[in-house]
Amino acid sequence: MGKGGGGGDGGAAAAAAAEAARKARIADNIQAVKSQFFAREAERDVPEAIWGSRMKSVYDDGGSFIKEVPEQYVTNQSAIDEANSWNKDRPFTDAYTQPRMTALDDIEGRVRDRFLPDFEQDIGDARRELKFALSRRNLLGSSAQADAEERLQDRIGEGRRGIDQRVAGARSEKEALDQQLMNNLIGQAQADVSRSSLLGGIGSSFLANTDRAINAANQQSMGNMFQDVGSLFKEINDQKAIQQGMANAAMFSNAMRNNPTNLFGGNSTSGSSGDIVDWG
Amino acid sequence: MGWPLAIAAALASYAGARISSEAQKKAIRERQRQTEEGIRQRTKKANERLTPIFKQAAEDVGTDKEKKLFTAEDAKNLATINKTKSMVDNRLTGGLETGGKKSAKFQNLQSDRFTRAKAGQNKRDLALSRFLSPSRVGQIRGQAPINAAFGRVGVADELIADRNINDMRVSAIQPNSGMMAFGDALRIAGMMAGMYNMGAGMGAETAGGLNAGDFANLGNTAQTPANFSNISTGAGQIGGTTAGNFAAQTGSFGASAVPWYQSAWNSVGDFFQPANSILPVQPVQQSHTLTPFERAIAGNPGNTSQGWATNRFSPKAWNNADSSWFK
Repeated sequence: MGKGGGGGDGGAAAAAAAEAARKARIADNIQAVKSQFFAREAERDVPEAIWGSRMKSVYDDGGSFIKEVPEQYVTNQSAIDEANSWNKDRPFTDAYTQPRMTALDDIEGRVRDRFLPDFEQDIGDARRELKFALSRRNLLGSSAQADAEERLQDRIGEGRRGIDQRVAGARSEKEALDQQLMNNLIGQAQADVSRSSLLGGIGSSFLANTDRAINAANQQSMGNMFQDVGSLFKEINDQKAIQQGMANAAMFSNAMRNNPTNLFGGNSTSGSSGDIVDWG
Repeated sequence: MGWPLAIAAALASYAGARISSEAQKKAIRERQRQTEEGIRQRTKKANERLTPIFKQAAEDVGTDKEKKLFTAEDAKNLATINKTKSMVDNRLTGGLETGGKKSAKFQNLQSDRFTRAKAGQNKRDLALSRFLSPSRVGQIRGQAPINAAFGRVGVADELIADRNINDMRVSAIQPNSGMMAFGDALRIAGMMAGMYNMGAGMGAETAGGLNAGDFANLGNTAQTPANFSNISTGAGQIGGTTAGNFAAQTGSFGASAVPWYQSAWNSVGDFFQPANSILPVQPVQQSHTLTPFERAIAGNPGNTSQGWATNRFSPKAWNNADSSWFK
């Protein structure tokens, strides 16, 4: 009510009280939403009360000094209050809550489990193929084996990184989806949606995000990276080049013999066939 | 009364209007003050609340935060890569199991190649961890403007509510009801007095025989007979009535068939119409049961149903009149 008088405040006091309640409700709901996503700072230890004594002045009702009396007091009360205040409303960190961390680890594990067994199977097959190839060429224990094994390691690492990319991608997808969910919920909280509506379905929303992230990773299939394992070592490649040259020479002489005037004519048999003749 | 009353009435009207006006002006000033105070508070609140929000947004998209985010994301990706690496069967990543004796030269060569391969893998893993980071860091940085928008919306919501509440406070500010009532009362009193004075003056001019003082005492029933003593002639009074006065009065009764006092009252009624009239207005009637007083005037005290046309007076009856005649 203003100084001018005139009864009542037009409901301003009631509106102010309602607005204060609304603000408090929204703030609490936003905190409740965030607490589902981000971890809070660690609790602080509340120090033990340390008692001390001091003299206290006593006054009468009129404010006149009467006497000083000893009193017991907690010397570290401010530290206790500060710790209690901190623990009551700990600020959020950038770190995720433990359930979310567990969920992200779970997603990573599921994606790895999806691709690693096949990958390991391929590695085993590739090792066997390489071993046979080296054995056929009598290259075991040679520098060619050392060279081929190094190349195989590189190829294994490349395949593993392919899996890593899918694992990290699934995790990022889950994080992004969760972030969208949080933004959506905070937006609703700011619109003063009730807390039960906000958090009632958050568990299923988290699970749906996990499902979407895993499915997105699963759609990126991995092929066998070791199809050409027989050509992983240098000597085989060198031999392959020699064989290709010899095959081309044979074809060239054959063509010269059959049609010497049309040496470079369009012949379907000209050029490399791409076949590898195993001289070993 | 005349000029002194007119001046007093004018002063009262002016004072009443001034009091009311001042009360309203005070309320208007208070509304302006409250409105300005509301704007000031909202501006202050907006500055206090929005500054940290924008500051935080600027920090979130700043290079320092970007470096931290990249570092954290690189580490997270590297941990993921290392975990996958550790889960691959070690037997599959070692040397080929070929059996037989291996020369020292081969073993050295193999170890050298493996070491080189491992170093290359680590470099590639690190590169991949860094390669994967920008996407996620971009998402995190993209959250900064969203957070700022949330903050702005929240503050805007509160400011709108504050404005509405302040508007309610402003609209509730009304002129002081006591002062307004007092001012109105004073103004009305002054106006009434002025009108009365004006009416009195006008009556004296138009009726010829009326004095302002006669009207001043209209509200006093006890003085009514005396006040109307001069209505037609200005001579005798009812309290000491002479036969001639009443004879003159009865003439008007016969002509208009309206009680003389009602006729007199009607001339005043143009100016005053009090809710509780001290002079009852009787319906105009052509005949009615005569009162003893009327019968005495009519000269036929025994006749109780004569019309007003009779214009005779009985001195004998009048001399014998008692108080019941005037009731």
